[in-house]
Amino acid sequence: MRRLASAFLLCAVFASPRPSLAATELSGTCGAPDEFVTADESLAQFGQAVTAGGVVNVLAVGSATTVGSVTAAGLNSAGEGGAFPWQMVRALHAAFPSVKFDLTIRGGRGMTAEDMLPLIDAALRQQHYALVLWQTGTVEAVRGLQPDGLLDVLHTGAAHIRDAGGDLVLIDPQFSRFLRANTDLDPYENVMQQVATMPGVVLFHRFELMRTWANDGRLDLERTVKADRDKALDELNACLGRALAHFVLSGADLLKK
Amino acid sequence: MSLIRSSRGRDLRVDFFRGLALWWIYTDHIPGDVLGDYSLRNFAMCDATEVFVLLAGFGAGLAYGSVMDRQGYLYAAADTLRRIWTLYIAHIFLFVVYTAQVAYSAAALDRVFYLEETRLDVLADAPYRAMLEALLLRFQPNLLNILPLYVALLLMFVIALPLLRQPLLLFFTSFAGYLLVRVTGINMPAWTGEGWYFNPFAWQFLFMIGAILSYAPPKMPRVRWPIDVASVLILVAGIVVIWVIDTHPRILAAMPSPVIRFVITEDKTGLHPFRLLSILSLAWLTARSVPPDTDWLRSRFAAPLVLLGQNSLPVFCSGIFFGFIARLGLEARENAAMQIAVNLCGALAMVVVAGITAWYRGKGRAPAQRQPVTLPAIARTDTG
Repeated sequence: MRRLASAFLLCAVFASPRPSLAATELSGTCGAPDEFVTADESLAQFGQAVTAGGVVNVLAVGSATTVGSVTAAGLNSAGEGGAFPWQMVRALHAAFPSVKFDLTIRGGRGMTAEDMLPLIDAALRQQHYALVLWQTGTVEAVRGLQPDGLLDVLHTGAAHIRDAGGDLVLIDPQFSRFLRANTDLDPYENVMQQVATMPGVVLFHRFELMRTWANDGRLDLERTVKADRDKALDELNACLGRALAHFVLSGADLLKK
Repeated sequence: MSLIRSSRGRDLRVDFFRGLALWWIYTDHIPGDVLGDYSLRNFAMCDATEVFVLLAGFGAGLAYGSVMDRQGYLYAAADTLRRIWTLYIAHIFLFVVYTAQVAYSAAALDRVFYLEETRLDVLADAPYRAMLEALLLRFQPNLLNILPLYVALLLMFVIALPLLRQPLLLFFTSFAGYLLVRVTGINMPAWTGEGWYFNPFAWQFLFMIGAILSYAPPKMPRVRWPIDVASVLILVAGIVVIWVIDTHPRILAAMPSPVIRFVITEDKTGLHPFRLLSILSLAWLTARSVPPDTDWLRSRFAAPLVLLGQNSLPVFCSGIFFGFIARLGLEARENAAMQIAVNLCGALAMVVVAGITAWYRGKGRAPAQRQPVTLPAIARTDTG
């Protein structure tokens, strides 16, 4: 099944008629295949906000990897400025120096999507967000929570974000051999994929992208020795951030200027 | 003295497939193990857990049902409770061993994420409380959730024992419980806020089905092909979901929304109906294609798995321990040689554990069956 999937991915990459969209301003997406850094649904709200210029508010909601306290018991540098949402904003700013991307981060370690929904609602009441990143699914999978529940919560959240005039990027769990072996990830992945069929919602396939990196021998957090782990984590966040920036800009149709 | 128990009346199929499930549990739980890509869960909408629970029910129905027939409910209930106590002690022992193993490795290798992944991190936050919660089975680290399920299932079985004689009543009572769980989501409470990873109120249905099948086997229907066809269709549908839909989720967009919801919200915690139907289909087709007196079950090749299945408790517990060592091995060096080493050594180690257990059980008893009147009850009781 995994082989089937990779064969399919490979075909998709080679069959893609478009030339690589990698914009020069985005200093590389660490060899991420196009399909992972290209959004298939339009992010119209975000596109308009960037085109209009001025301040573009971005909200990132998630658990540990988003708020920036990943593994290594606080030893990593992924605090303020290190986690991938910060890296994405940095890459966006590099691509559009005249636009001020203002990032707000909500969430926390071990939070479920259900825990995050009130945080999103509260944030939306305070100001307009053109783009919302919602990283979730890991905690649900680890605890074996009902995929039903996740589906309903994500639907509700997506509707609220849409009503508030924003686009939503869902981000799935990060690649982990442990998760793959010990939790039943597929239902949660399918739920997120399903929610991403709503207008203005896209899914960033972090798990598969990181798996590609691991298989290519480019970046593999789980197989990095202790001494190099902080460095690898920084690199991962930087790569993910740039890949995400490429992803949202492609969705907003802002790459081919 | 033979290490394998093969008295008349013993269904070696149960032992064999239970052993297979134990081996799958070992390979499935090692992150990065290539054999994990070829176990049951890659081909069906169910995995080793379902096989294990169904056969546990089957074994319980056989063992305690026959005690009840000969010596009455009180003895049968007492035997079941003694078994529950054994399982409970084994679980607590495994909890201590596993915690020590994971925590030591996390510290020695500076991999704090071991503790987070196994959910042992809360132990550091509130160690005294965690001890209590572990004893109450409300704190279940990852991988240590199957034995608490088994304990809960057997406790329900103690209550359900008399109903074995009215299998239809037991079936529908059990089914009603399952339906209630599917509708309300009611679960055993866990310390960390949510319910148990394996909801015993849902999984009891599969367990009771196993018990009924062994204690009061329903007559084989005269026309069997419709069940064959239905079973094959269910299994094929499972393969379609795993091989096609899970890998190309966009196909879902073309389906009506109730179907989407049914397919994508497949949960293991509450034993999703798709999983239940899959394991029952598998069981039916296996029972149809492997008769009880099949020769290969007594062959040398089947022997290791039969041995594992007959000594399931020590094998399961040691498998968790060996599995973590295997993980450390694969993380140190992930190549073909290491893959072969961890799988071969793990399998061998579990067979050795099973062999030693069987030897202890058999020593002094064989070869002469000195007390044939009382022996069968003990011999058939699932003490493995």
